Amino acid sequence: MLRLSAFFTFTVASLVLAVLVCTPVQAAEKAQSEYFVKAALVYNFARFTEWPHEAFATDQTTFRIAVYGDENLTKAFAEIEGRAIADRKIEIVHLEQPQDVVDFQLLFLANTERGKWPQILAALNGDAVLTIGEMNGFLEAGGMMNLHMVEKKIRFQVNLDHARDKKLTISSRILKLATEVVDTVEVKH
Amino acid sequence: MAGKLVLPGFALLALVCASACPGLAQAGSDDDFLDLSLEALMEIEVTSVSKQSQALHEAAAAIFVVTNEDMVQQGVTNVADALRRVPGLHVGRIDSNKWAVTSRGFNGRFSNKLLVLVDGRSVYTSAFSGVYWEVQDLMIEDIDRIEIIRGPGSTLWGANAVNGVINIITKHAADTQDGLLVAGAGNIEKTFGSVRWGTELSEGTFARVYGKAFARGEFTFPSGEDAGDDWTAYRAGFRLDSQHTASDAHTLQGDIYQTKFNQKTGFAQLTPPYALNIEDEGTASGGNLLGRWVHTVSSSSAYSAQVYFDRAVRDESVAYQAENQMDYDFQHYFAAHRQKIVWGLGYHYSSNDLAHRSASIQARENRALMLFSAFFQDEISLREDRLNLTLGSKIEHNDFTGVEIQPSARLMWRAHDAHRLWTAVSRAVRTPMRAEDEFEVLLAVVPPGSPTNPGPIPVGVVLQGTEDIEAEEVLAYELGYRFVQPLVSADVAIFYNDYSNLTTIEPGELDVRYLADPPYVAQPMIFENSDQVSDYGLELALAWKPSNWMDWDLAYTYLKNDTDDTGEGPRTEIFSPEHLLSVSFGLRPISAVEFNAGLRHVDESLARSSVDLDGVLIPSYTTVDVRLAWQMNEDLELSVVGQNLLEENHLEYTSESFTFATEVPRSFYGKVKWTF
Repeated sequence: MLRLSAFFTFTVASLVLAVLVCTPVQAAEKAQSEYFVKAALVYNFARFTEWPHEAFATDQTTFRIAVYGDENLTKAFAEIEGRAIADRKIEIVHLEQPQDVVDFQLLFLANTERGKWPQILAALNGDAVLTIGEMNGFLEAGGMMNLHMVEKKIRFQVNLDHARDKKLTISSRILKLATEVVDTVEVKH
Repeated sequence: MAGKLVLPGFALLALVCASACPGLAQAGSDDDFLDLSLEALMEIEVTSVSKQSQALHEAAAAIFVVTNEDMVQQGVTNVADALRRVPGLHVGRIDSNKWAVTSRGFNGRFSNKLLVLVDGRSVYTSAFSGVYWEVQDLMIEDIDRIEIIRGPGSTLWGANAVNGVINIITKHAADTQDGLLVAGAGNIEKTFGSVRWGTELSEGTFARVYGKAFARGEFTFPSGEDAGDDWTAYRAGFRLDSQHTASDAHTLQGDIYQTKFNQKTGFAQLTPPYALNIEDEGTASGGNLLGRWVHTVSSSSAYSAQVYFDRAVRDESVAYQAENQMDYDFQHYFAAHRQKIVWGLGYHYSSNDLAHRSASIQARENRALMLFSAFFQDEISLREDRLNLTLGSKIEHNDFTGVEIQPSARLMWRAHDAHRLWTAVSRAVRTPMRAEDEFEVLLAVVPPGSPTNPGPIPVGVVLQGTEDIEAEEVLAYELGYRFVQPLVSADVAIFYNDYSNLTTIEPGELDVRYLADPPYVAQPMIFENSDQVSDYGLELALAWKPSNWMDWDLAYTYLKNDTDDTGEGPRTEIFSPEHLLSVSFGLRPISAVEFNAGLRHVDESLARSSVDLDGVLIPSYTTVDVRLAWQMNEDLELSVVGQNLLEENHLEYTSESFTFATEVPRSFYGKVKWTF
């Protein structure tokens, strides 16, 4: 009986605490969520990157962003849907299978989906897609931009060689903020 | 044999019905960040969201994932304890250095219907059919996640995945690139420490090395006496991950360990005093090396090859065992016209030495066993990725029972973006262990001249293996529902299992052994496949994250023996509690402080015993664990943990043989974690 009452006291106390405490704060913490900030960064990267003309079928074609990741990620990226990149409306498509990546201008790969990366890269097949990841080794494995955390803040690295191969031009506004830029052309000079 | 879920891509493809999902709900209202400059965005401090892979929600199976975050927040110091909040699993600590872990019933120190893999390497021992949890001790900080699949996993993983598969998956070396030092002390966790360091060896090649050690204190017997089961362990290992080209990923990893454990062991002998209790100092040591290569041909085709070697030695007063295992595994995945096919071939060799340290176990000195296996699985998209059917089977050949076929059919219906419904029918087998085939174990001795044995020579009760032993079988019917939203998720599974050919022991004819030294009358107890059991159950997992600084989890398990009680002889037991409940919550009032508490209630159950065939009654218990952590700065974290707080001591489970009931005490420890 003693054990039973301890059990209920714990449960009830915890529930009461939850109700008392959780309600007013929800709005504030959204502002801290990692993926909302990442989605905003990705939006800015897209704004300061130039795609070759052939990356879009027509002038009316939307700017399509492929997202591999969980619901938290999709929710965050949904916030930039409808905004525009160089007068093209942003369209977010949540993908799961590597081979689904067809006709996109930008791709974001969550760390949880890292295992799909080789297959995604194969499926991209040389398309002009800005690839952004969040895992160590992403730039070496063919990726263009990688987000990482330094002291709870988001930092990024750029592999300019990979971007250049696909005829993407990343603005110096982005490059000067990167923690690392892989650029073998510059080294040769 | 090898872990399908650890191979990226295959994993999920194999079990899971994953496919393109239409974009979720439309944009929210606050666009605050979108109007900030890059520079401003980079100054925002962020908190990480849960990293659980979404694709697991798509599995047509009862899956649960314990993340690294969960393990850290629970303050667990070993892998077995991390499984306590998983629905469907029952974890009982037998003593300071032994655990009993099972899925959906039939628990025991040698619970034999649960397969356990560490990064694709099986840690199930073939001599005794079970897992020595005390030596599956990894550095908790380097475990990425533990994936638990309840119900048969035999179509992919092969025999012995009867009621579940546990995949312990360590982090990719690229994710452990910093240095880490952990040290702590407490009343039961006397002292412990571990160190890890990672580096990038060359472009795209990452490595880490680690070492850890601990000394754990003794528990107490129900009488209040010290149980004499303290132990120490040392362990070291490495992992190397390389992505030389975009289409080839290589992994090489290995560990070595040594454990010294004390235990009070009791066993029978044929000379006076006939039953011996000794204070035993045992050792367990071993090592393993695993290599894996995944080659991606295209977006719809990939191969993987894996090979590992594992040696495990265990020396205690009952017996000396040494097992060498070699395993080769090949898999090919390809997708074609609404179908995703994965097939594979495997070969497993194990050589098992057994030397008796006492008269209580007799067996051939060495036995080499081979297992050949092949599997095929096809996932067919029936309706626009809303309805997927997965059909497959494993076919394997083992040295005891020959060919075993383990098919399954699974159906996943994505009724709505947030709602999934699945069902499955599968057959799985548990193949015999060496002990059931050939061992002789002296369970008890009735001294001569005693009331039950008036004769002049002792009577020995001898557990005897038989070559006629067959595989245990299950036909499992499962149904599940999953609701997934960012703040709330629910997962319910119900099942009905029909077991047949279950192993029991039946008395054989008396056998007078004149030539033995000393001569004795043997009462053989012979393994037999004569039992049938049906059971059913329900498992529920609820997760609620009302805000970023609070989360709640609930796991409930119900398991009911449905066997017809004929009244003839004892009813076949399933050796697990009927109800298991765990409620836990985490609180982060400010970003540097974290508080976690978990309560669990475990219903009464029976534990299997080689001496008392009716089993030993384990009373129900309720207990609470708490953890308080303070992140002093980016590099330094201090935490204190209290475990089993509600009672001074409680009994959780007992071993089938050789050791005595031991109670788990209330414990505390403090820990420092330094990142460099």
